[in-house]
Amino acid sequence: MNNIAGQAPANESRRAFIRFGLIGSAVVASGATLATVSGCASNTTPASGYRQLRDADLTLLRPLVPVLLVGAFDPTDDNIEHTLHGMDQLLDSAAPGAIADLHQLLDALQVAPMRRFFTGSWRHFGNQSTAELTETVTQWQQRNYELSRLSLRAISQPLLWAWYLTEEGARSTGYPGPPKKVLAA
Amino acid sequence: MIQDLSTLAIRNIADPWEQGIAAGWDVIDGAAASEDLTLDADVIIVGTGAGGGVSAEILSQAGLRVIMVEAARLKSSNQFNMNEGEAYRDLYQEGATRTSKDAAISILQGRAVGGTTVVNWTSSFRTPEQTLNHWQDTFGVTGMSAQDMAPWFERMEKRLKVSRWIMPPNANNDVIRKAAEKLGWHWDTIPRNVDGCWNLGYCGTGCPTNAKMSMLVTTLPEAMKAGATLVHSTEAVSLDHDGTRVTAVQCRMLGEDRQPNGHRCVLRAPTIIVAGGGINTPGLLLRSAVPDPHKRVGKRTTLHVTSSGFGVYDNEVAGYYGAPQSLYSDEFTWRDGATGKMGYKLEVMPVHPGVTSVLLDVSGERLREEMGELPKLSMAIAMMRDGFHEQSPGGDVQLRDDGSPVLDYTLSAHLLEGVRHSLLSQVEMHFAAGAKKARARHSDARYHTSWQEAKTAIEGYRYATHFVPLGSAHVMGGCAMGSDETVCVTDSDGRYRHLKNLYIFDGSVLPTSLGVNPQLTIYSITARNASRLAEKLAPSASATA
Repeated sequence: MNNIAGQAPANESRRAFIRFGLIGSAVVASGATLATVSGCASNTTPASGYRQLRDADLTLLRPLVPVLLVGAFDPTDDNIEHTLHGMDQLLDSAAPGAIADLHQLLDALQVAPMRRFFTGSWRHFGNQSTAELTETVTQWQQRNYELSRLSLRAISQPLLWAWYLTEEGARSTGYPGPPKKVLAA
Repeated sequence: MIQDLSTLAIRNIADPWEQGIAAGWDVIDGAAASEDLTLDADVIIVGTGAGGGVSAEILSQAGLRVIMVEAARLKSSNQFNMNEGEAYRDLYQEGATRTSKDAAISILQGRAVGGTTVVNWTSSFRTPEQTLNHWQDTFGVTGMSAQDMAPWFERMEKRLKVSRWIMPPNANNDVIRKAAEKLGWHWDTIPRNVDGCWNLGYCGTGCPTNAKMSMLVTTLPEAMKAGATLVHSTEAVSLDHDGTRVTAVQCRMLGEDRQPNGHRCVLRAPTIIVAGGGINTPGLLLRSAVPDPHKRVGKRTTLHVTSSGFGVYDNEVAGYYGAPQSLYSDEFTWRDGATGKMGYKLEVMPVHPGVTSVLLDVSGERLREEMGELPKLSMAIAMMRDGFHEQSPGGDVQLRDDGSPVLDYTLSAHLLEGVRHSLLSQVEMHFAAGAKKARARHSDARYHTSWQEAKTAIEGYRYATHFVPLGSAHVMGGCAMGSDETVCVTDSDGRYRHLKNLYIFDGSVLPTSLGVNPQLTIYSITARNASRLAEKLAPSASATA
């Protein structure tokens, strides 16, 4: 019932968008086959306890958290999970179409040639050490493709934003916080 | 002497909606619906922002039976706790994640009972004369010269307590004065729509003291007192029409989780006003397949595309506290005339941690370091005056597969030249104001400690989509007004040309952007057009009102 037009979700159109939309030129540039990419795009089931992020997405994002938010907190499994839940909550307010775009991007990053195109590295994030992944992110943010720049921002922005919206994240900046609103009893 | 408002308690603020509902205001909560609804009235107003609020007050006070429908959930001052995350989730379109179609431009737009007026930063400028003249000359807009509009500006300035801000600016805004005095640039004080403002700095999360004269505390309560009905948590899905008239507004009710709860609502009236704002108004019209012979619905949507420049100072700036916008510079707004090179207005924006982490556009060690300088950070913005030059046609609102609207906006060479020029100006401004380091918002940018070094670097950046992240807090156009039917879908009185009883009273009628923050323009044009409509629908009541 998310469909404001009252129509069934148009999976076929989504598939078409994969070819011609966000990552269309990346597909062409990397030489990946359309079947490989669109084959990955069908799963929209969220991971247990999540509303938008899927199990496969978490395999990419978990190793990225301590790199993108280095020094923000002790990167224990619990703290990483907590941060990813914050990101998930932000995404839960996003338009379904925007989430579909993000899912497509994350699907693409599961595929080695696409990863190479976007980030400059072939290896899955889960198979890189924190030091290696830090290097990957550094080269990723300097890649000279518009879609590379977009892809890093699309993933890092909601993650970093979610952290700095927390009380702990906000206070770590030196921001003393807002006044207190006291309601009449 | 670190500024710290965290120990300040805000007490004894009456919530006008809690009191009004207790006094019997007719408020229907879609989330609480247990059945489908059909309601009839004289006028249906879709949306409760700057356009919907002003329309509702004028028409209900003229004696007309008004029903307002609003997708957002009613939230008022008792719930405005200055929490950034809660505000984005509850008071902004798409939880503040709205972007243009290719995600090159972030779009901060309100989604609230009261619309964007609940979360804007209170800047209240009259429409520039150059803009009004351009509309007349290029789009055939009639009856809206500066002279024609003066009484409407005066009326709304008085209604919403607009006056030049007399308190000293916070240090974030004072950057503009200091730099302008040194560089010989124009600067001035911003008029604000506030009454008894506490100068806290939380306009963007819903005013906790009700000092901001948003629609939520002004026109909407007056409309409710005059007998209007508010149906909130209820989203207009489409307009039923027979090709000549709109016959009903089809709505779906939304639960507290903002998802449809399965209940429908049908609103019927002889007159329909759509005031959903840029993007959502054209989206509703496109979903409704309204007659549109020249395919102009959604076209010419402008954004005041906004670039940013950061300065870090030796002394505390505390840009999170104090009136968020109190000074501006028009040094470059008309730098090459109305239709020449892209002009831009210089202002600053509030420096709260969430939004700043997004704006800085870095990660890892750099982000930690830059966020650690938050108390000493000033964030300038430059609002591009798009829509005036032929290479700046604005974007097109389109529908996604699920029927939700999205704005396709291409960054033209004309716009990117303005972005480059504006990044140079903003960084120069920071150095002139005494910043110890400054940088542009560009994905290749680094902080520099001298203007000459920064200038060389900024001139060398690549200016292309996604290399320079951009934002917008002003969505205008998409249902342009004017006399040229092949370009403009509404006439200068806001009537939709191709359906007899449909009026567009919101920012989507603006045929270009403005060169100033848009709220007072939308209030004033709506006051003019809603008053004309009231005279037509209720001539005797309007004469005595």
